[in-house]
Amino acid sequence: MSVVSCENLSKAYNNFSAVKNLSFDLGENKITGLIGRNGAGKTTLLKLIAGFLRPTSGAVKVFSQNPFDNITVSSNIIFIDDNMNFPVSLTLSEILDSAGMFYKNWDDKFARKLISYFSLDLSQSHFGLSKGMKSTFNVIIGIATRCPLTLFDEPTTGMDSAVRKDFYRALLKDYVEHPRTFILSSHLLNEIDDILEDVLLIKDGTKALHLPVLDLKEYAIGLRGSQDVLKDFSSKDIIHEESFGSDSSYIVVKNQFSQTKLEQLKASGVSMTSVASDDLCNYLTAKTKGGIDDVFNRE
Amino acid sequence: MYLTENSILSVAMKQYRYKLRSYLELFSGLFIMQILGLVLSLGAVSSYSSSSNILRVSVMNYHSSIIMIFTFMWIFALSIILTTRQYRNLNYTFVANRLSSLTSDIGFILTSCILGGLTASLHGMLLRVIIYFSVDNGELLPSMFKPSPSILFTGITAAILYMMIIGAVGYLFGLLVQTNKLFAVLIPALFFAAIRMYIDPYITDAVEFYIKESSLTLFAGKVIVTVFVFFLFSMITSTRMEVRR
Repeated sequence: MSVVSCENLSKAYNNFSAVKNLSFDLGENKITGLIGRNGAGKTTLLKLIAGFLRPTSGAVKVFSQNPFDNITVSSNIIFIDDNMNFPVSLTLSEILDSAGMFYKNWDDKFARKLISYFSLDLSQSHFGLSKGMKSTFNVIIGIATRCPLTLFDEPTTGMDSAVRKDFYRALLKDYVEHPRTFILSSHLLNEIDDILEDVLLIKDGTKALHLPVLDLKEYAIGLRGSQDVLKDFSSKDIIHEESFGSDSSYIVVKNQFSQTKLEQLKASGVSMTSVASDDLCNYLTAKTKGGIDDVFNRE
Repeated sequence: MYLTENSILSVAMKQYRYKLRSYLELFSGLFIMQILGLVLSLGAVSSYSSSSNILRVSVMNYHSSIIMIFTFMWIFALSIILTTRQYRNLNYTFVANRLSSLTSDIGFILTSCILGGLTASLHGMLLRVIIYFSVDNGELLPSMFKPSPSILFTGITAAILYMMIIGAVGYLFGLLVQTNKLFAVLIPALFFAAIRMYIDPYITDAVEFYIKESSLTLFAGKVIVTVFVFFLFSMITSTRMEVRR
């Protein structure tokens, strides 16, 4: 059974369409990374899934129900982002009590252990926390609610790298003990690709890729060699290109060569490298094939 | 996968409890308004004196209505604050939908009305006590000074009922403004235009419909129906909005 399924989902604000014709299914008990550039539509998509926004067209289903304004869906998901709102007059400890009141699976002991590990002061108000501490507190709420579907929207904003690593580890460990579905949006794939199972890459509100992380690592190949040899590739196949000096260049193409073709390329002096999934996502979502270099290239 | 099922009412109850705990800062506004009203009431509303060669009489009128007016202003402001984006978003941190949020908001407003009506009346009593100790050589007219329990009860109930109308109107006004900022100007403009044309018999009738009601039970009935209609319109308005931006 799929936990989230979208069919031709679109969402427009006034004249700007943030999500366009998106269709995908997310299976149960998977950690999916929602990857995309700033403004690609990640937050809008998550809010559509959370039932906060009404789709302009198409449909989204969560636990086979329409999530918009739906109390059952709301009871089984939690949406964590960095502008989560908590009442000014509550202390962190009281906020934890409130979360426990609303969510059936809430693990209070676990939440308080995490709070003390990250040395947050339970008697403080959420308002007085620093940016990174707010994010830390929010993700603790997200993990300890143990909802069947947990949505994290850029959860690590402002956290230092030690806290980020701890968070990913805590998430993974708790996931192993209590398998459930997570969607984790981020633009930093390299940090999270070892906890993700699937990657959903979106570009300008449309789906660029949706595949297991392991396949993403094999998806493309980097070729470096003289421009004469590499110019045979049609620009349609090239995901990314850079040139070095006058005659050497580096291109990234989809990895779909036969063994003989690879041998041929090797023979003509082309070196092959694997492409880091993080770089690949950047290339796939870039507006131009040459990246920032295009800005500096003189005509 | 095991899904938690929740009824809207049980979620609304949880949200109501959450709001009572977390909106404490809104009650501090009530406290400030009432103390301010009390201080302003300490001056006589009207005084009159007349003197002859051997006698000088001066009459001072004190009135606690300014405390009431300030409390009314507070409940109006509170209802509008509840409809602002920041407070509406607070609903959706945890489990909620629009109906449960509206229901818990209504619960919170009604509770605030009861608290506001009670404390406003008690401040009226406090005003009497202060005047009692501050008037050195004068006579206090006992009929006004010591209201019978039944009059006090009627006063408190009427205050609460008036506050309910104001709260319901404020909430609807706030929601309408959230759907379109133009309403923030349009509605007050229409309202004051209507007041200017007070000769209009419909408005006079409408006001008298409430104010001239002598039976407390009938008055309560009229208010409850009115409040219900206003909250119904609020519900319809809220269904035109996104849950959370």
